[in-house]
Order: sequence, then C-alpha cells, then structure tokens
Amino acid sequence: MIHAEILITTPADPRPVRALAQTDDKGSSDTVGPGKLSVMVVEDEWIVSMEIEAALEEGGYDCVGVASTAREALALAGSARPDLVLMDIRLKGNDDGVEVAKELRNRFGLRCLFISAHADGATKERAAGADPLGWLPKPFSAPQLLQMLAAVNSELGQK
Amino acid sequence: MGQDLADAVLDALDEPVFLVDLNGGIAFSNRAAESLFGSARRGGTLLDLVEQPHEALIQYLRRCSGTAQTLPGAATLRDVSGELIRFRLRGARTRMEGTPYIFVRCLHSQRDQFPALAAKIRELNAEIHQRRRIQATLEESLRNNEVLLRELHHRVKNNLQMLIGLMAAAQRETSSDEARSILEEVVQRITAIGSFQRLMHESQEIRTISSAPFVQAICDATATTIGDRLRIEVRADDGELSHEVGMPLALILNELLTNAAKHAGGSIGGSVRVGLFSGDQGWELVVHDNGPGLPPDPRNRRSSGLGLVKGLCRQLGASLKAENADGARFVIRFGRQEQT
Repeated sequence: MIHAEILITTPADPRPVRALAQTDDKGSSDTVGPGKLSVMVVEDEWIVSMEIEAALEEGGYDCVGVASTAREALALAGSARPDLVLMDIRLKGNDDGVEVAKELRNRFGLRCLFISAHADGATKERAAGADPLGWLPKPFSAPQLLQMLAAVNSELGQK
Repeated sequence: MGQDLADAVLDALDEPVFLVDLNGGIAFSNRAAESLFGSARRGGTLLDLVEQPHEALIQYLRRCSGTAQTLPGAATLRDVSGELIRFRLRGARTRMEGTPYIFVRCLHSQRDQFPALAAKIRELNAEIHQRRRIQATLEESLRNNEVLLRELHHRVKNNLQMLIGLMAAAQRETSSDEARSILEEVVQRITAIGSFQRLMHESQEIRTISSAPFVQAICDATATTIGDRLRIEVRADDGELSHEVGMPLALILNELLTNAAKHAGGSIGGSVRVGLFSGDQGWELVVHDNGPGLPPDPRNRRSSGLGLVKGLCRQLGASLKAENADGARFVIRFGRQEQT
C-alpha cells in the first residue's frame, strides 16, 4: 500500500531567475546574476518544439532557439551559450540526443534536461556521462515542463 | 590354418579386405572386395582405387607396416561403378609365407557396427540441428518484436505529445474563455492517457499494471496540470489492473480530480483523498474532496466531466455512487472479471 501527499502550490512570482554557475570548457567559472534563464531546445518534431517554446515564453524563460540535429545543437550552443538544454533523445537524421548531450557537457559545460519517450533504465544509464539535470518523459503538458524547470532551477540555485 | 581355410574365412566377411605389399600392391582381395572393386584389381594396387592425393594412404600403409597392432585410418575409394565411398580402414602388419604384407580391412562408414543406434544418433543430431535453427529464428523474431513494440510505444507517446502541442496551440489562439477551458481539460485528459501509456510501457507484465504506482502516476500527472492549491492524499492497495481497465480508470480519476480541484481547490486548505482498495468483490475507487459538495442538479452532458465518468463506468461495468459527505464523495466499484 502506498500513502503519499502531493502539495501543489502556485508561487507568487513563478518567473525563474538565473541561478546557474556555469563552467566552460576551459574550466573557468562564470557566475551569472539574476535575469531570465536561457534555454536551448533540441527537438526534431516541429509541433512539439513549438509547444515547448510557447511554454518557455509563458514561464518567463528565454528560449535561445531550437535545434533538430546534433550539428545544429552544437552550433547553437556555441553561439548562444544557454544556461541549460532541453534535449530529446531521437533527433533528425538518426542523431542521438544522448551523444549530443555528452558533447555539450564536454565542450561547453552544459547540462541537459532530457525530454523524451525514451526514458527507460538503459537509456538513463547510457546518458549518465552527460550528467543530466533530469528526465521528463513524453507525453508531458506545459505545466509539467515548467514545474520540472522550476525544480531544476531551484536545485541548481542551491548549489 | 591352411591357405584355403584362410581364404574362406576372409571371403565370409562382409567388408572388403586386402592384403597389400608395402607399396600398396594387392596380393589378395576377398570376395567382398572383388564384388565392390572388381576382380581385375587383384594384381593391381590399392592406390589405384583411392582418390588423389595418394600421400595420405601411403603414409597410412607405412605406419601399419611398423606394427602388428591394428591402426585406424580412412580413405575414399572408387568402386567398380565409379562411385566414391568413404571407408574407415583398419590395417596391421602381417606375414605370409615369410613375406611381409599389410592386412587392410575397409569398413563402410555407413555400415556401422550398431546401425540402429547410429541411425538414431543421426536422427537426433538432425533434430537438434533443426531445433537450433528454429530457436535462432524464434530469438531473432522475438528481438524484432521487442524493437517493434518499443518503436510503437515510442510513436504513441510522441503522437500524444503532438496532440498536446496542437491542443495547447489552439488554447493560446482562442479568445474564448470557454474554449480555452475546454481545451485545457482535453490536454489534461491526454496527459492522463500518456501517463497510463508510460506505465504500460514500463510494466514487465504484458496484460496488467500495478495498481499503486498507477494511481500515484495519474494523481501526479493531474496534480501538475491542475495548478490550484490542493492537497492530494493517495492510498492504494497493491494489486494488478488489466490494461483494459487501466485506460478508462485513468480518465475517470483525472476527471474526478479535476472536479475536486474546481470545487475544493479554490478554498484554503482544499484537499482531496484518493483511495483504490482491493476487496473480495473487486476494486473500489474513492475520491473524496472537502469542497462544498455536489450541486443539486449537476450538468450531465456526455462530454462533461461527470458525463465522461458515467460513460466510462458503464464501459467498465462499474457502479458509480456520488454523494455529499462533508464534500463530494465518489465511489466506483468494479469487479475483477473485467480484468481479462
């Protein structure tokens, strides 16, 4: 038998603040001040990416852009330097989101929140090297995404 | 033993027998040998009967010439009709009238000492081989089906995600509050279906899902989407729910939680208790909020929340009781016979 309580609260100001201390590929630390948290989306389904962008905007996040391939993701990350990445696993042209996430971690010190229908144990184990921020299994709603991002932001802000 | 007697004994053997000199020259062949290889072979050489190359047979004869103990060997010989036959050889040095010879018996490979046993072994070997081939085919087929199933689950979840995206886009576009509210409810329902789909995928069982994680997952999914202040207490007995029951039950629970959020969620300290209990007669789902209770004449459209609950209860063969008991209390009972 399980017994659990879920407490849902709506914060007075749900807009996220920047709470990440980034480390770039050279190992230097760049502590950022308050402001919009910037998010890069890596998703090859246009309808899904559109919904994510809208949810991010609604939640007060700065969406720096959407990439649908590994190449686009690495290029966008290099130019936009987002605070975090929302990463699908299966990308356009059979590109692998897990490998892209590892590359982003190695090159730019970026961490990903995986948003995927592939959230099984084997995939999570494979993605451990990318040091993921979390997993949001598909299908998810905008409130679920924003709640997850708020939790991630809060966790990172405490570190 | 006289020569005639020796010849008679050798002629009585089933297998071809040769007496050859160190170069393979045939000094004697028995009746079986002449029958198989022709009488003209007498005076010829054993090497004439063997397929090229000869070296292996020459080596074998040399080894036999060094011992009176029988040595095993093998050769493929051509019979009088030109057919090639594989023989197991048994050869040993012997002496006749002071001259050294090599005595060679040609045992037919297929004419085993225990023919029935050998045939059975061959039959079993063939069966094992066949079974291994079938097993390999089945394993390959199983792997393909697993990949296909994973792909189907993945596609279903992605398609549900796209549906949510389309509904949410329509929700943003409309200027009608009513339409926005209806679309939001639809998104919630699809999210509940998605949660059930994920549990079904993660479950190791092909026909059932575990009841306690199921209730928790639907409550979690609905709770996130509701967005109002509402405490949800969840109690669920452990057990198995069939997939046929799981999907409508996910939607029923989502509707009752949404209803609770609408009526009890607005007030301070609003809460709802969700219970799924297993009894002798079957399952009982209880959703009890602490809101103002049911209105005297609740809307009963088929597509409204309560209409949906009633319709899905009918699909499950479940009874539905809605009552006021310090808030709205819904009790849904359904038997285990539906879990097939």
